[in-house]
Amino acid sequence: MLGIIGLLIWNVAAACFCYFGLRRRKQLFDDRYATTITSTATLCTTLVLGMHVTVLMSAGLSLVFLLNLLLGAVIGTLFGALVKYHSVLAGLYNGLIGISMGVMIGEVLKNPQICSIPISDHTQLLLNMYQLCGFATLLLTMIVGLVLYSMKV
Amino acid sequence: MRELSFVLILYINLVMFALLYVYVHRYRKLVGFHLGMNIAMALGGLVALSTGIFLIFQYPFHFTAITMVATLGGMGAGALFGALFDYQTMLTGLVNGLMMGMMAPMLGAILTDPIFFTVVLEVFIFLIIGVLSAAVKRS
Repeated sequence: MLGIIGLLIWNVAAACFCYFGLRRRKQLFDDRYATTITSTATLCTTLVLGMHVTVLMSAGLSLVFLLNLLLGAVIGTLFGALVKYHSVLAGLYNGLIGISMGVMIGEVLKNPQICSIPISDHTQLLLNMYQLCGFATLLLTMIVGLVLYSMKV
Repeated sequence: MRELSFVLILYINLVMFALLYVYVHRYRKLVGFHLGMNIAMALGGLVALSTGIFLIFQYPFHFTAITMVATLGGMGAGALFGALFDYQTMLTGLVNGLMMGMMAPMLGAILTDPIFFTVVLEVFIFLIIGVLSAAVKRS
Protein backbone atom coordinates (compact mmCIF):
# COMPACT_ATOMS: atom_id res chain seq x y z
CA MET A 1 0.00 0.00 0.00
CA LEU A 2 2.94 2.34 0.62
CA GLY A 3 3.82 2.32 -3.06
CA ILE A 4 0.29 3.32 -4.02
CA ILE A 5 0.45 6.26 -1.57
CA GLY A 6 3.67 7.32 -3.30
CA LEU A 7 2.00 7.07 -6.70
CA LEU A 8 -0.97 9.10 -5.40
CA ILE A 9 1.38 11.86 -4.21
CA TRP A 10 3.08 11.86 -7.62
CA ASN A 11 -0.30 12.15 -9.35
CA VAL A 12 -1.47 15.02 -7.15
CA ALA A 13 1.82 16.79 -7.85
CA ALA A 14 1.34 16.28 -11.61
CA ALA A 15 -2.24 17.63 -11.43
CA CYS A 16 -1.10 20.71 -9.48
CA PHE A 17 1.75 21.26 -11.95
CA CYS A 18 -0.72 21.10 -14.84
CA TYR A 19 -3.18 23.46 -13.09
CA PHE A 20 -0.64 26.14 -12.24
CA GLY A 21 1.05 25.80 -15.60
CA LEU A 22 -2.27 26.43 -17.33
CA ARG A 23 -3.18 29.21 -14.94
CA ARG A 24 0.00 31.17 -15.66
CA ARG A 25 -0.90 31.49 -19.33
CA LYS A 26 -4.65 31.82 -19.14
CA GLN A 27 -4.79 35.02 -21.16
CA LEU A 28 -3.86 33.12 -24.31
CA PHE A 29 -6.90 30.85 -24.43
CA ASP A 30 -9.74 31.19 -26.89
CA ASP A 31 -13.09 29.48 -26.57
CA ARG A 32 -12.62 26.13 -28.30
CA TYR A 33 -9.13 25.67 -26.89
CA ALA A 34 -10.38 26.23 -23.35
CA THR A 35 -13.09 23.58 -23.74
CA THR A 36 -10.69 21.02 -25.22
CA ILE A 37 -8.04 21.55 -22.58
CA THR A 38 -10.60 21.45 -19.77
CA SER A 39 -12.20 18.20 -20.90
CA THR A 40 -8.86 16.48 -21.56
CA ALA A 41 -7.12 17.42 -18.33
CA THR A 42 -10.21 16.91 -16.17
CA LEU A 43 -11.11 13.47 -17.55
CA CYS A 44 -7.63 12.03 -17.20
CA THR A 45 -6.90 13.59 -13.80
CA THR A 46 -10.16 12.55 -12.18
CA LEU A 47 -9.98 8.99 -13.57
CA VAL A 48 -6.50 8.36 -12.21
CA LEU A 49 -7.05 10.13 -8.88
CA GLY A 50 -10.38 8.37 -8.30
CA MET A 51 -8.78 5.00 -8.97
CA HIS A 52 -5.97 5.60 -6.48
CA VAL A 53 -8.25 7.05 -3.78
CA THR A 54 -10.71 4.15 -4.09
CA VAL A 55 -7.94 1.57 -3.85
CA LEU A 56 -6.58 3.25 -0.73
CA MET A 57 -9.90 3.73 1.13
CA SER A 58 -11.42 0.73 2.85
CA ALA A 59 -14.85 2.22 3.74
CA GLY A 60 -18.19 1.17 2.25
CA LEU A 61 -19.04 1.80 -1.37
CA SER A 62 -21.56 4.60 -0.73
CA LEU A 63 -19.19 6.70 1.37
CA VAL A 64 -16.33 6.20 -1.10
CA PHE A 65 -18.57 7.17 -4.00
CA LEU A 66 -19.87 10.30 -2.23
CA LEU A 67 -16.39 11.53 -1.33
CA ASN A 68 -15.10 10.80 -4.82
CA LEU A 69 -18.00 12.64 -6.47
CA LEU A 70 -17.23 15.71 -4.35
CA LEU A 71 -13.55 15.45 -5.36
CA GLY A 72 -14.46 15.17 -9.04
CA ALA A 73 -16.81 18.16 -8.90
CA VAL A 74 -14.12 20.27 -7.21
CA ILE A 75 -11.42 19.31 -9.74
CA GLY A 76 -13.72 19.86 -12.70
CA THR A 77 -14.82 23.28 -11.47
CA LEU A 78 -11.24 24.34 -10.77
CA PHE A 79 -10.06 23.37 -14.25
CA GLY A 80 -13.16 24.81 -15.87
CA ALA A 81 -13.04 28.18 -14.15
CA LEU A 82 -9.59 29.06 -15.53
CA VAL A 83 -11.11 31.11 -18.34
CA LYS A 84 -14.15 33.33 -17.88
CA TYR A 85 -16.62 30.61 -16.81
CA HIS A 86 -17.09 29.41 -20.39
CA SER A 87 -16.08 25.87 -19.71
CA VAL A 88 -17.34 25.14 -16.22
CA LEU A 89 -20.06 22.92 -17.69
CA ALA A 90 -17.60 20.80 -19.67
CA GLY A 91 -15.30 20.56 -16.67
CA LEU A 92 -18.07 19.52 -14.28
CA TYR A 93 -19.51 16.92 -16.66
CA ASN A 94 -16.17 15.37 -17.51
CA GLY A 95 -15.07 15.39 -13.89
CA LEU A 96 -18.17 13.48 -12.76
CA ILE A 97 -17.85 10.95 -15.63
CA GLY A 98 -14.17 10.37 -14.98
CA ILE A 99 -14.51 9.96 -11.25
CA SER A 100 -17.35 7.43 -11.63
CA MET A 101 -15.18 5.37 -13.96
CA GLY A 102 -12.27 5.63 -11.53
CA VAL A 103 -14.41 4.39 -8.63
CA MET A 104 -15.52 1.41 -10.73
CA ILE A 105 -11.96 0.45 -11.64
CA GLY A 106 -10.82 0.83 -8.05
CA GLU A 107 -13.64 -1.35 -6.71
CA VAL A 108 -12.86 -4.06 -9.27
CA LEU A 109 -9.18 -3.92 -8.34
CA LYS A 110 -10.00 -4.29 -4.64
CA ASN A 111 -12.40 -7.19 -5.18
CA PRO A 112 -12.11 -8.92 -8.59
CA GLN A 113 -14.97 -11.32 -7.81
CA ILE A 114 -17.43 -8.56 -8.79
CA CYS A 115 -16.47 -8.98 -12.42
CA SER A 116 -15.89 -12.75 -12.03
CA ILE A 117 -12.21 -12.32 -12.81
CA PRO A 118 -10.51 -15.46 -11.49
CA ILE A 119 -7.97 -13.92 -9.09
CA SER A 120 -8.13 -15.03 -5.48
CA ASP A 121 -4.53 -15.05 -4.27
CA HIS A 122 -3.62 -12.09 -2.09
CA THR A 123 -0.16 -11.60 -3.60
CA GLN A 124 -1.51 -11.70 -7.10
CA LEU A 125 -4.22 -9.17 -6.16
CA LEU A 126 -1.59 -6.76 -4.83
CA LEU A 127 0.57 -7.27 -7.91
CA ASN A 128 -2.45 -6.53 -10.12
CA MET A 129 -3.12 -3.30 -8.18
CA TYR A 130 0.48 -2.17 -8.48
CA GLN A 131 0.62 -2.89 -12.22
CA LEU A 132 -2.56 -1.00 -13.10
CA CYS A 133 -1.82 1.95 -10.77
CA GLY A 134 1.67 2.32 -12.21
CA PHE A 135 0.29 2.18 -15.74
CA ALA A 136 -2.31 4.85 -14.93
CA THR A 137 0.40 7.05 -13.43
CA LEU A 138 2.45 6.76 -16.61
CA LEU A 139 -0.60 7.73 -18.67
CA LEU A 140 -1.37 10.75 -16.49
CA THR A 141 2.22 11.96 -16.71
CA MET A 142 2.17 11.59 -20.49
CA ILE A 143 -1.13 13.46 -20.88
CA VAL A 144 -0.02 16.31 -18.58
CA GLY A 145 3.05 16.63 -20.79
CA LEU A 146 0.90 16.71 -23.94
CA VAL A 147 -1.47 19.31 -22.47
CA LEU A 148 1.39 21.58 -21.40
CA TYR A 149 3.08 21.08 -24.77
CA SER A 150 -0.10 22.12 -26.59
CA MET A 151 0.36 25.73 -25.48
CA LYS A 152 3.49 25.96 -27.62
CA VAL A 153 1.85 24.60 -30.78
CA MET B 1 -10.47 -22.36 -36.11
CA ARG B 2 -13.32 -22.42 -33.65
CA GLU B 3 -11.12 -21.54 -30.68
CA LEU B 4 -9.84 -18.35 -32.24
CA SER B 5 -13.14 -16.99 -33.56
CA PHE B 6 -13.20 -13.84 -31.39
CA VAL B 7 -9.67 -12.91 -32.43
CA LEU B 8 -10.68 -13.33 -36.06
CA ILE B 9 -13.68 -11.02 -35.56
CA LEU B 10 -11.37 -8.49 -33.91
CA TYR B 11 -8.99 -8.75 -36.86
CA ILE B 12 -11.83 -8.09 -39.32
CA ASN B 13 -12.90 -5.06 -37.28
CA LEU B 14 -9.38 -3.65 -37.21
CA VAL B 15 -9.04 -4.09 -40.96
CA MET B 16 -12.30 -2.19 -41.45
CA PHE B 17 -11.07 0.64 -39.23
CA ALA B 18 -7.85 0.79 -41.26
CA LEU B 19 -9.87 1.04 -44.48
CA LEU B 20 -11.92 3.82 -42.91
CA TYR B 21 -8.68 5.60 -42.00
CA VAL B 22 -7.56 5.51 -45.62
CA TYR B 23 -10.98 6.78 -46.72
CA VAL B 24 -10.98 9.69 -44.25
CA HIS B 25 -7.37 10.47 -45.16
CA ARG B 26 -8.42 11.03 -48.77
CA TYR B 27 -11.17 13.50 -47.82
CA ARG B 28 -9.41 15.21 -44.91
CA LYS B 29 -9.17 18.63 -46.56
CA LEU B 30 -12.96 18.80 -46.86
CA VAL B 31 -13.85 17.79 -43.31
CA GLY B 32 -14.46 20.59 -40.85
CA PHE B 33 -13.11 20.55 -37.31
CA HIS B 34 -16.39 19.65 -35.66
CA LEU B 35 -16.90 16.50 -37.74
CA GLY B 36 -13.22 15.72 -37.25
CA MET B 37 -13.62 15.87 -33.49
CA ASN B 38 -16.59 13.50 -33.64
CA ILE B 39 -14.71 11.09 -35.91
CA ALA B 40 -11.72 11.00 -33.55
CA MET B 41 -13.90 10.43 -30.47
CA ALA B 42 -16.04 7.72 -32.07
CA LEU B 43 -13.19 5.78 -33.68
CA GLY B 44 -10.90 5.89 -30.64
CA GLY B 45 -13.73 4.61 -28.48
CA LEU B 46 -14.72 1.89 -30.95
CA VAL B 47 -11.19 0.53 -31.39
CA ALA B 48 -10.69 0.40 -27.61
CA LEU B 49 -14.13 -1.17 -27.05
CA SER B 50 -13.75 -3.93 -29.63
CA THR B 51 -10.16 -4.71 -28.61
CA GLY B 52 -10.97 -4.97 -24.93
CA ILE B 53 -14.19 -6.95 -25.26
CA PHE B 54 -13.04 -9.49 -27.85
CA LEU B 55 -9.66 -10.08 -26.21
CA ILE B 56 -11.23 -10.68 -22.81
CA PHE B 57 -13.73 -13.08 -24.38
CA GLN B 58 -10.84 -15.01 -25.85
CA TYR B 59 -8.34 -14.94 -22.97
CA PRO B 60 -10.27 -14.45 -19.70
CA PHE B 61 -7.24 -14.96 -17.41
CA HIS B 62 -5.12 -11.98 -18.47
CA PHE B 63 -7.09 -8.97 -17.20
CA THR B 64 -4.20 -6.58 -16.57
CA ALA B 65 -2.40 -7.17 -19.84
CA ILE B 66 -5.63 -6.82 -21.82
CA THR B 67 -6.44 -3.55 -20.06
CA MET B 68 -3.04 -2.17 -21.01
CA VAL B 69 -3.33 -3.33 -24.62
CA ALA B 70 -6.86 -1.93 -25.03
CA THR B 71 -5.90 1.42 -23.49
CA LEU B 72 -2.80 1.82 -25.63
CA GLY B 73 -4.71 0.72 -28.75
CA GLY B 74 -7.57 3.13 -28.13
CA MET B 75 -5.22 6.02 -27.42
CA GLY B 76 -3.20 5.27 -30.54
CA ALA B 77 -6.27 5.02 -32.74
CA GLY B 78 -7.82 8.21 -31.37
CA ALA B 79 -4.52 10.06 -31.81
CA LEU B 80 -4.10 8.77 -35.38
CA PHE B 81 -7.61 9.75 -36.44
CA GLY B 82 -7.32 13.09 -34.67
CA ALA B 83 -3.89 13.85 -36.12
CA LEU B 84 -5.46 14.05 -39.56
CA PHE B 85 -7.01 17.35 -38.57
CA ASP B 86 -5.62 19.26 -35.61
CA TYR B 87 -3.69 19.06 -32.34
CA GLN B 88 -6.76 19.66 -30.18
CA THR B 89 -8.68 16.98 -32.06
CA MET B 90 -5.79 14.64 -31.32
CA LEU B 91 -6.04 15.39 -27.59
CA THR B 92 -9.79 14.72 -27.58
CA GLY B 93 -9.46 11.39 -29.38
CA LEU B 94 -6.58 10.34 -27.14
CA VAL B 95 -8.49 10.92 -23.93
CA ASN B 96 -11.67 9.28 -25.18
CA GLY B 97 -9.70 6.19 -26.20
CA LEU B 98 -8.12 6.11 -22.74
CA MET B 99 -11.47 6.13 -20.94
CA MET B 100 -13.04 3.50 -23.19
CA GLY B 101 -9.97 1.28 -23.01
CA MET B 102 -10.03 1.34 -19.21
CA MET B 103 -13.71 0.37 -19.22
CA ALA B 104 -13.96 -2.22 -21.98
CA PRO B 105 -12.29 -5.33 -20.42
CA MET B 106 -14.39 -4.85 -17.30
CA LEU B 107 -17.56 -4.76 -19.39
CA GLY B 108 -16.50 -7.87 -21.26
CA ALA B 109 -15.73 -9.72 -18.03
CA ILE B 110 -19.25 -9.27 -16.63
CA LEU B 111 -21.11 -10.56 -19.68
CA THR B 112 -22.43 -14.08 -19.67
CA ASP B 113 -23.65 -14.53 -23.26
CA PRO B 114 -20.77 -13.67 -25.59
CA ILE B 115 -22.30 -14.74 -28.92
CA PHE B 116 -25.42 -12.59 -28.63
CA PHE B 117 -23.42 -9.60 -27.45
CA THR B 118 -20.97 -10.03 -30.34
CA VAL B 119 -23.81 -9.90 -32.87
CA VAL B 120 -25.29 -6.73 -31.33
CA LEU B 121 -21.89 -5.04 -31.11
CA GLU B 122 -21.09 -5.86 -34.74
CA VAL B 123 -24.43 -4.40 -35.86
CA PHE B 124 -23.70 -1.17 -33.99
CA ILE B 125 -20.13 -0.96 -35.29
CA PHE B 126 -21.25 -1.35 -38.90
CA LEU B 127 -24.01 1.23 -38.35
CA ILE B 128 -21.50 3.76 -36.98
CA ILE B 129 -19.05 3.09 -39.82
CA GLY B 130 -21.85 3.60 -42.37
CA VAL B 131 -23.01 6.86 -40.79
CA LEU B 132 -19.44 8.20 -40.58
CA SER B 133 -18.59 7.39 -44.17
CA ALA B 134 -21.85 8.98 -45.35
CA ALA B 135 -21.11 12.11 -43.30
CA VAL B 136 -17.58 12.34 -44.72
CA LYS B 137 -18.89 11.80 -48.24
CA ARG B 138 -21.52 14.56 -47.98
CA SER B 139 -19.26 17.19 -46.38
